[in-house]
Amino acid sequence: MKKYIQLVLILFIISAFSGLILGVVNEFTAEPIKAANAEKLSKGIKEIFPNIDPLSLNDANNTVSIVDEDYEELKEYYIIKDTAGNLLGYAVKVLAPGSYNGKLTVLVGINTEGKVVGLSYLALGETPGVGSRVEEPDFINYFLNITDTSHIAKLLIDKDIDSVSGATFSSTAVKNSVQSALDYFNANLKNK
Amino acid sequence: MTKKQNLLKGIFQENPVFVLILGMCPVLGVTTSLLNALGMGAAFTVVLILSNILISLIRKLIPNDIRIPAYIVVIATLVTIVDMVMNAFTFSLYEELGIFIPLIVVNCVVLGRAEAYASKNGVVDSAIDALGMGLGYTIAIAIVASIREILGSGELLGFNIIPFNLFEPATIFILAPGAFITLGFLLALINVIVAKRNKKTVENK
Amino acid sequence: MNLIILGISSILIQNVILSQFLGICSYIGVSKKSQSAIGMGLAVIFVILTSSLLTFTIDKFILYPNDLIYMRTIVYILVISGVVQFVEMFIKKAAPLIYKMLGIYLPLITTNCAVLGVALTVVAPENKNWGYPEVIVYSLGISIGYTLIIYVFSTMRERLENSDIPEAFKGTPIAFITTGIMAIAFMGFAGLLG
Repeated sequence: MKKYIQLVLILFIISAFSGLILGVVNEFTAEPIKAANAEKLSKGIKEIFPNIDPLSLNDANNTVSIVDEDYEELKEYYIIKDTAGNLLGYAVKVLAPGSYNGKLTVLVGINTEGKVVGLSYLALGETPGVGSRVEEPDFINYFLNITDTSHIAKLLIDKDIDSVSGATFSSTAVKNSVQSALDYFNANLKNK
Repeated sequence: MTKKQNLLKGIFQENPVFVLILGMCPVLGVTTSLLNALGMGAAFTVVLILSNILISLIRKLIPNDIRIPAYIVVIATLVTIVDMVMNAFTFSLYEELGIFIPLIVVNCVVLGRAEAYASKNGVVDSAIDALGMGLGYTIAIAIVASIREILGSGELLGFNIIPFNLFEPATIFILAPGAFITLGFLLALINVIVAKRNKKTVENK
Repeated sequence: MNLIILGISSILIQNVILSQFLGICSYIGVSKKSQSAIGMGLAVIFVILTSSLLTFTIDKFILYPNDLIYMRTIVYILVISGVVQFVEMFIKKAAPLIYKMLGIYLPLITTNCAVLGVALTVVAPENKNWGYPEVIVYSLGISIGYTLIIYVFSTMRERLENSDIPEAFKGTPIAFITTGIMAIAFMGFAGLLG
């Protein structure tokens, strides 16, 4: 019994020591990690809204989380303002449901009139070269200025069908993401 | 065994990937591009060297009964440190490699070297052993990744290298099946080389 | 409904071996005989389910609220090796027959990356809104997918033993190539949820 206590004690000391070291390293890396994440988000938003006031993103009031059972895939939206403080639109962060590896996160930019002004991907856990075709301007252009995705559904299928690669899969996932962002906008943000 | 032999054995005779067939998950998972493979190889080598050094240092302090859990804690600590540092300073590479960085903890090569080598040998030898194994691992996954990137996307390190568009890249090679098939053919090639070499040594005798 | 989709997707589409490349070592190592493949599969199902429920609970109530998520890897791997140890002792006492069947595979499971992989996936940022039902379905799905593939592959391998294969391809090379062909077939399942 005494031997066991000793063994457990040694393991505990090693673990405690590890925890201590990790805590110290965490002190140093936590800030850069946070900054890198924020940088990625603001880069994505700037792609869609080049005129945004860069400082407005630092304001926590401009980030609103979405908790809505009907829109499980929507995470949060960002209120986009230019330097004069005018409302330009919204960027909705969507975790695309049913994408190939379940990791497709897309920002859908919607202007105040309810038109899609751009898409930008935060995470593209798709196979490089295949699913990432959804990144190409040709693909993104289908969505510009639309208020409803139903009429582009057929176009996408004609253009992108590729039963081996799963590319249809990603494009459908993106289409669904845009549609639910638009639905959410029409239901909650349009007349705000 | 001289220090040089110790270093080279990890690259050739005991190459962890091609000869020992250990730690295969990242070999298949991160080899969609050469850059990813090199990043993974670097992370792996750093963890392996540090773990071999640390374990060799504390090998006499750890009671035999709990040596495996103790090694695992040491390795997990090192992996977490590498994970955090990469997340902070090489953000896009970190996102590409994803779950395969924390999974270095359960890579059989790391624990295997700790148990088979570092727990029995001095610090310098353990470090050299780890460097050799790490290089062997990195070279192996870099080869797999180069083949897949060239055949699958027609590029290497992001540069288009197919002259005059001689062939259309076969996307299947950067998809999951291509990983298995590339590795299968490479291992067969290694078998051929080893068989030829053995034949030669027999003839020479 | 979402749970059913998650289940199907984790067994067939995000298959742990064919599309996520986790647990390859044990997959190549243990698939020589179909009986040992089933043994390993059952042990993995049990360990993945138990350990991911435990780690999910620890994460939810201890690590996440206290800002300790950087301790995840260490805590998880200790939990997993603890679970494996416990399962081994428990089965040895309670069901010696099953122990005889699974005994040799149990220690191998600690270093099976599928186990740690699932534990890390269920707490990944993209699965932030998962609760216990999703964790249970996903863990079961992934481990059933593992068992399915390792069993199917072991039956193929038993046949490969008796076929005329070029010398250089014997053993592991042909095993990987066969797996690749199986992975092509499984990509077809991606269309299921399209």
